[in-house]
Amino acid sequence: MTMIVQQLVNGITQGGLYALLAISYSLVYGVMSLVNFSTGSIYMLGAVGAWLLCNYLISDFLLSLVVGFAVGFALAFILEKIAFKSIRGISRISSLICTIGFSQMLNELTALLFGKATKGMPSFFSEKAFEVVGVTISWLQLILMLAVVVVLVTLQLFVYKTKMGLAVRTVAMDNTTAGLMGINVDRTISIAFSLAGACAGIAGVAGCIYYRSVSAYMGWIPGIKSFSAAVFGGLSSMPGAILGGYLMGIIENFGVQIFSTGYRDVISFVVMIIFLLFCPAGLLGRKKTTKV
Amino acid sequence: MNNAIIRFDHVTVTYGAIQALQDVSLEVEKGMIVALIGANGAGKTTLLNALTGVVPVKEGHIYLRDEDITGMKSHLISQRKVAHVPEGRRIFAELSVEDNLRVGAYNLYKDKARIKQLMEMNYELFPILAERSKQLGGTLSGGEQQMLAIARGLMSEPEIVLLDEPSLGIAPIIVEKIFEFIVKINQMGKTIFLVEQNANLALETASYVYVLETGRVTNHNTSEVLLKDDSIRKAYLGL
Repeated sequence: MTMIVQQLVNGITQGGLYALLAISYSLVYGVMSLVNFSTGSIYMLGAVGAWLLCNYLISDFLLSLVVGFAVGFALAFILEKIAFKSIRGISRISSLICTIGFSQMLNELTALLFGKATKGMPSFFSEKAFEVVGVTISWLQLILMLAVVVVLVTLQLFVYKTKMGLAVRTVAMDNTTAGLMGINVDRTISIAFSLAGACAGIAGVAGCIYYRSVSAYMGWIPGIKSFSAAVFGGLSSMPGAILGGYLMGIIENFGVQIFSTGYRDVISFVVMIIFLLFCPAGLLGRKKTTKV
Repeated sequence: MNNAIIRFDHVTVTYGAIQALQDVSLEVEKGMIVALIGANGAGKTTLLNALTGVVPVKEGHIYLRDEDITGMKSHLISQRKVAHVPEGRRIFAELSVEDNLRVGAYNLYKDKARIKQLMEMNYELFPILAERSKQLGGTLSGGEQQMLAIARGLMSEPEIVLLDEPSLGIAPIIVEKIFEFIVKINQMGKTIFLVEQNANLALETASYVYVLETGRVTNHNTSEVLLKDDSIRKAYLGL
């Protein structure tokens, strides 16, 4: 029982990171029908940004998150402008490969400049917050959970309650018609893409603080895993992506408990594959119903 | 004709090697209903799409109130008081009727009072939409969707309404109704440029008609003249 609760807590903490990344995939997929495989690299660069801040300027938790947001936003903004804008409308497979290429490029450039070695992050809020019947929860876990929820809620408010959010939803449904309604499609895509980057950047900072390490290749596995989580939840649905992210975290931690740590990555993918065999649209994905 | 609010000046549009529009010149006069008729694939939709920046113009110029808008992005043209009601209606299926209308008034987003006013005006014009206001756009029938598409266009307070095949795939009895609405909207002072495959309806409704055949304007005149034109009667009216 204790173990179950403990793994649930760990799973939710980790799932929050996946949820942030999954929503990043979902946001980009929504407006561009593009799976952005450089999301993992943006995650990594957010973390590198936080590491630089903590090592050279000031070791501060909140400021690190802000840096993650800024790095992710700026990087995604630039990437969209120089690369993805020009490939919009070309075949999906080509644009997919393009995002993988950029991801590799960013990873290798970082390895070159930052070094290949894994570096440590200072610890924040490592004290135990409380312990109930053997279940320990650290302040860090609590704060990370809260931070993720704050980001996710803010993003939902943006998408469902603001003018720009309406533009994002409309462009996601039909960008040609959105343009005819007076919506600046290019700008909307740019903003959605940048916000998606910001989410990935924040996730990167949260990730490097949680695992207390930073490296040039740290984005690869979380990137792939949270893509799976997004597909699991239904790629086209933002609430689905969030749900998928959390479930992925929880499943993974229970899997580790039942089998062993070595199978950490295998378990989550196996569960996802089996699930998708039976429900290919994902948990909350929309089933395309086209009316003729 | 210097009352032209829309003017095509030798416009050519190509899709790869295919010429969709060849050297098309036409004018739409302010306050009138002008129609463009032609068979399937003649380039009618392309012509409207070129006008609102959905497809690029290869040669020639398009003027809106004497301003050259060739190659301008869609949203900027929409902001110039042009509402394009696209072919196939293109309703946002996952938004409610009300939200579809709200998207139509995107540029007025902050002006809640004005939006409410416009919405009520539309509900008055199309009472069925008021009944369905909370329903998702995708659940409406074809005719209702067409009304919604027109209402959505009117939400931006346009001076010009471009209608692309409003009769397409709709029961004849509803088509009649929709054309009554079109006349009503024209009487509200809005210029209407109607693209229509149903030549009969178009000639009945519009005062001036252009005929498009495989990307070229082959004939144009007032509808009275064209209704008496033998070639038109044979090719388009089946008489």
